[in-house]
Amino acid sequence: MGKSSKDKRDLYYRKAKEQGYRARSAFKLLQLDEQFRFLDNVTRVVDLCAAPGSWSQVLSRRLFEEDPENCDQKRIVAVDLQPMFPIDHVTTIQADITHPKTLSKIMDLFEGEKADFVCSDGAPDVTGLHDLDEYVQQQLILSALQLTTCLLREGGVFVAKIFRGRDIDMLYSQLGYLFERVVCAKPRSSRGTSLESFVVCLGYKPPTNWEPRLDVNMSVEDFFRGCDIGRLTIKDELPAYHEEPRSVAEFISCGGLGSFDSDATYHDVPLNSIALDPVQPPTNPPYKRALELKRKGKLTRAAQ
Amino acid sequence: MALRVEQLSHYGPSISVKFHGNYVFAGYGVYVQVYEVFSGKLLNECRVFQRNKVHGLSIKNDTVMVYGARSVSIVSVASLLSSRDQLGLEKLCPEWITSAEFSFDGKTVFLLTSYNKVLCCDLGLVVLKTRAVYGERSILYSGTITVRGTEKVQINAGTVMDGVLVWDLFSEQNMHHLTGHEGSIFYVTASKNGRYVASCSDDRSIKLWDLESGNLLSTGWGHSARIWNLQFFDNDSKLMSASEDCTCRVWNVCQSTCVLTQSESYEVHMSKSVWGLDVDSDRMIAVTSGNDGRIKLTDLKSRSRVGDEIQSFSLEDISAHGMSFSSKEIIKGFFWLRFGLVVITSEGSMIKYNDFNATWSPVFTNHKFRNFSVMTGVQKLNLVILANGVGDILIVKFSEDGSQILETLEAAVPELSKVTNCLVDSFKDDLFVILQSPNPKDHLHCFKINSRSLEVSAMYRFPRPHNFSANCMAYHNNYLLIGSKFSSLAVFSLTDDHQPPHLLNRLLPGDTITSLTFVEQLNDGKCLFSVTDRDGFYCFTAINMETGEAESVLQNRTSKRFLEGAFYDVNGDYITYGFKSNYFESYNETQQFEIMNELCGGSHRQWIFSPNYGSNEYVFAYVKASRLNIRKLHKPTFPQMLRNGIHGREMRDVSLHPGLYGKDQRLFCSGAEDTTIKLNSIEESGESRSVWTFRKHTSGLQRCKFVSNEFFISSAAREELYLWKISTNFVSNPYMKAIATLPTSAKLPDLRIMDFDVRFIEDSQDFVLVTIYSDSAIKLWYFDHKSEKFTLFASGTYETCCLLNAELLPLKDSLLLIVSPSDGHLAIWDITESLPLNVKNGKLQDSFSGVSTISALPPYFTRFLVHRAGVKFLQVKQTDDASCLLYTGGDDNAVAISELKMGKEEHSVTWKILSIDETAAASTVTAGSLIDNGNALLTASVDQRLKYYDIRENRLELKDVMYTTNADTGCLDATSTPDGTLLLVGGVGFSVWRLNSA
Repeated sequence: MGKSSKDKRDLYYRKAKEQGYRARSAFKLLQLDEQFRFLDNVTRVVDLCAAPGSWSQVLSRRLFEEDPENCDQKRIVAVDLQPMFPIDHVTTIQADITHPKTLSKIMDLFEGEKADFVCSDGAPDVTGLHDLDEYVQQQLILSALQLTTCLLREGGVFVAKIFRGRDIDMLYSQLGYLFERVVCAKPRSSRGTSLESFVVCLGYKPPTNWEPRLDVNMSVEDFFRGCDIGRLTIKDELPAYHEEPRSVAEFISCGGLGSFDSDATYHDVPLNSIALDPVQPPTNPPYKRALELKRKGKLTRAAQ
Repeated sequence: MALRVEQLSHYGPSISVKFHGNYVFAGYGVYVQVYEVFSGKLLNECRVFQRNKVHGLSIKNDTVMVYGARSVSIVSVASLLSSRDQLGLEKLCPEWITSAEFSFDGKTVFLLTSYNKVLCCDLGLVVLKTRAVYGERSILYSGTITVRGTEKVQINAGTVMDGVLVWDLFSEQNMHHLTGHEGSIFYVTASKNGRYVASCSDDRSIKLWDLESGNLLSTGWGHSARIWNLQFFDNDSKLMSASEDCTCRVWNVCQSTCVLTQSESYEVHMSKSVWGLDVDSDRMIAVTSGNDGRIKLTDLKSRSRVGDEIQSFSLEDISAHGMSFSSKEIIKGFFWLRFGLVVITSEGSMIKYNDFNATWSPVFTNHKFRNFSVMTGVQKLNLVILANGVGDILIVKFSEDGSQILETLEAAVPELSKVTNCLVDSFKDDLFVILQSPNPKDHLHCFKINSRSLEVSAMYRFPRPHNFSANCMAYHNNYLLIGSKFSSLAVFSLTDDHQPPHLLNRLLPGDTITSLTFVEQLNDGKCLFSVTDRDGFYCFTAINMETGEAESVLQNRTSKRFLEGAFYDVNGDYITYGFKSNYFESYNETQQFEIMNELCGGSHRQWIFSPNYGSNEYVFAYVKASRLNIRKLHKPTFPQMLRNGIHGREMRDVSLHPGLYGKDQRLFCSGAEDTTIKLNSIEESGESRSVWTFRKHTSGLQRCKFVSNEFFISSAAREELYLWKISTNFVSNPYMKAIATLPTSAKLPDLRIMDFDVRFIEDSQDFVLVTIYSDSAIKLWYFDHKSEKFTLFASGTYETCCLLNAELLPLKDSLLLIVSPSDGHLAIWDITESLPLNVKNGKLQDSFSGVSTISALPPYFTRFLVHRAGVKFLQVKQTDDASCLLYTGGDDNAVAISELKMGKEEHSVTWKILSIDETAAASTVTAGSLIDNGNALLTASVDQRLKYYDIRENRLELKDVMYTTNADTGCLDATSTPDGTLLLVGGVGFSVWRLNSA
């Protein structure tokens, strides 16, 4: 599908380009913030799995352009394994969110102060095996969460992309141990036909006797051992199958009924509009070479 | 109310398959299925896990380790073969298990987790030691464990971001970090001989690495999508790959140059992803399993298992059998008889090939048939027919073994100055031969010949219809059916050849009709024929031969191939054959798999495809580069399919036909993301089988349902909506055809028809249809059964959001429309005024007299907010002539019962929510159905739970929760049967349940 046909299909895609956002997902954070106002009066924020950077763009505009007070105090740090084009007021770090060095880099930038807000819009590529995809996504959230527990102030907010699949209630339950309130929020800019939602965790309250500590040799399960949410027991025997704690988070739809519905088809795209170039060109997919070979007719069923 | 729940069957992705002796073990959802290879019989299905899917199997000394997600279980082969479940043995690992293997002596096991750690456990799954490479923390998508000895175990780990890590288990040292791939590594394995590591990734290539040096040896390109599985086989001389592109491929590993070369490609699964793969190198059979729930066997020696599968001759080769050919002589035609092949050359020499002793011998030379000749024949009569360009024919009848000529007949039609085509069919003792000239004014000449004596018993001169060029023919009951170019078919009567034929025009969308096959005769005398055209379409047409009346009961399109013919095989499967680019291909259309393919160079050549001696044996002979090639297809020595699946992608809707089919079967249709609609049959046991796969829609299905015994409607994007008619009165199969298409308004590919509802006019086949759209549009249509046309009579919009469900509800003298949009409301219209007909006592009365203007739908007269996000299902139960109950489920995880009451005054209405369960599910509630005479509500949600609510008191009283292994649970349908409620649940795959509330 060419860029112009996608313009017609997806109003948020078009709006994002018009407003200079690198991806339509910017509106998801805007609509979440409209509902929860979690970006009011924050000073230090961290955007994990930030590439291509549309959430960082929102953070930059909200913290610096819309609220120009105390700008010298404010810090935005964006972390991703992929390189990112610079964004005003945002410090980008190309690093692994599970590595202790990343934590110390962020803490240096924050001059030892803790963050008010951490978010992650990251998602792995899906394989089509629903259980594996859900597991990998939850590991990604837990990886973001372990870094978060090391740098979020008490009472702070954590927001992450989730896919509401089979075991999402297990994740809600785990997050419930660390936050006052856990909400599943669905912005109107996220398609209703997609399983995508956002978990908004308000009021960080770590267990009193638990000291989070990042270690490259530990899995997230090891990390959360001792804070009730880890599954690993001290016993050496693999436990028999048992049901694990689950809870259903409250659901909030945000963005207001007046906002655009990402499932709807809109006709009234201005006729004189010319297709806009994407703000950020797409990154090279891993299968770029395969596509080239296919174009040249070299990927056929016949033996070569 | 006590509820008894039984899952009768389940079809869905199978991720793991393994050969073990004469068995195939298949991970199938939460089950392990055991099949006997040669009979194809399912010996047992044993439930091993509560919720997790089986992702892998490892077998040693009659013990099986089964693992999937965080579950693992060590079970004996004997118990998998005999017991219904082994749930007591399921253990939970704290992390995802990527791979698991037994140790060399089989006394311990190794579990490789997604964090690149190995738990070394005893057989009771007590962890003895955890091993990992210190300082190395990767998350894995894939991995395998190669056990080479008691103290030599190699871990091959495929990471999400960081290439392949090969490490030694006991020293906990990295051996290699292989970084040539782009993207996540989806599979990595090592050869038994210790020479190679093979890996594949998101970049769609296969890389072969030298295990000792870690050097990249070769990269294999070929798959058009991601590759999920790799297996070395045949003493590590070959590698097999399984991919998202539905194929598995064989790669030769050159032992000297270490280069990977693709040698075979098999299309084995439907629409998406082959997951599981194993190869039995002794028997050279591969087993694959896929997202479509199919378990398939593939013969890796399909060209060499018996030894005579491929034969190839040039005239020079043949001349070694004591014949001589001139230098310019070429093969002009051939036909396969009961002993082998008969060939005519450009010099008029007839020669034959005896397939039993592999010898060529001359028959005779007849110079009349030099230069131009057409050869055809009748295999069961062991005769060939030659026709030349000037109207001569020659029929040669051979003895059973071909050694003698029993009879010959030479005849001519002097009237025809030129002949370009000769067609033949036979019935009992009669042979019918038709000659056609290129002059459209010439008659079609037909010989009726006694097939024993080869005496001409009659001659017919049929008037040739306008624009008619005969291409194929079939004899039936004193009629000749002839298929032509321009997709027309003529029925000629043999009792009176002066009569012009009955002509059926534009039978199919394509051009040339390529085959006509008689299927069955109905009680009313009509005959059902299967018809194919070269553009890839086929249809089944019931013809009254006397009157020429015909009705197509099925029409379908194959996927991108030229169709040359089709027939039902001995098992009742519909087999098609034709050309696909440079290949000739034979395809099982019923079960949707490729039977064979042959790289013949395409359709522009001499070729025949013919049954061979036995049933299920075929011969494809063709000329390529002046060589005559014979490809034989023997009856398979093992089944091609162990289990047939359903759609390869998410099922979007499912609908049961209201009636019974046969004594105890039922029919249902399923529409899926793969854009196809399948018509399936289901046994009482829950066993299900696809009958037809319709490729009518061009985008993923939104909704499909049977609206009566006869009609079925399906909708999708691009405003596609088709009305289908189903015929269940045939013996051969049920048939279904799209008979009407809804007119479209815009050219927006994204404009989806999200739902529709139908109300029939009293005592009529006419109905009112409402369609709702993704752009918030609502349209009302009248369907006139006689003209098979939809007429738009009213249209309007809700707001600007996407609409999800629609229901038409006649209440007393008015017709209500209830719509659920994506904003959580239920919106109500009174559409009585917009109707071009009357509503009386809840019935639509037949007073339709056409539409002069399209009226504008009034605004909704009320709406009320029930859900906080899109309402995904809506079920309505009328309680009296002024009120109804609305059952809804939504994207907000909630299920609700609301009541709607019409007041006495016009458009006065009251509503209230009677009961709501805000946390009915952990994720979207996608489907719901009223069952048990409306006393119960059954819901399905994406968290893979089915919930049964008792709703007799207008409260949601949860009675039972069932777990379904079908991920992305998105649709259900239910019907009551004498044994309780039959329930179908669809998502990725589908399952069949029986519920009994006593």
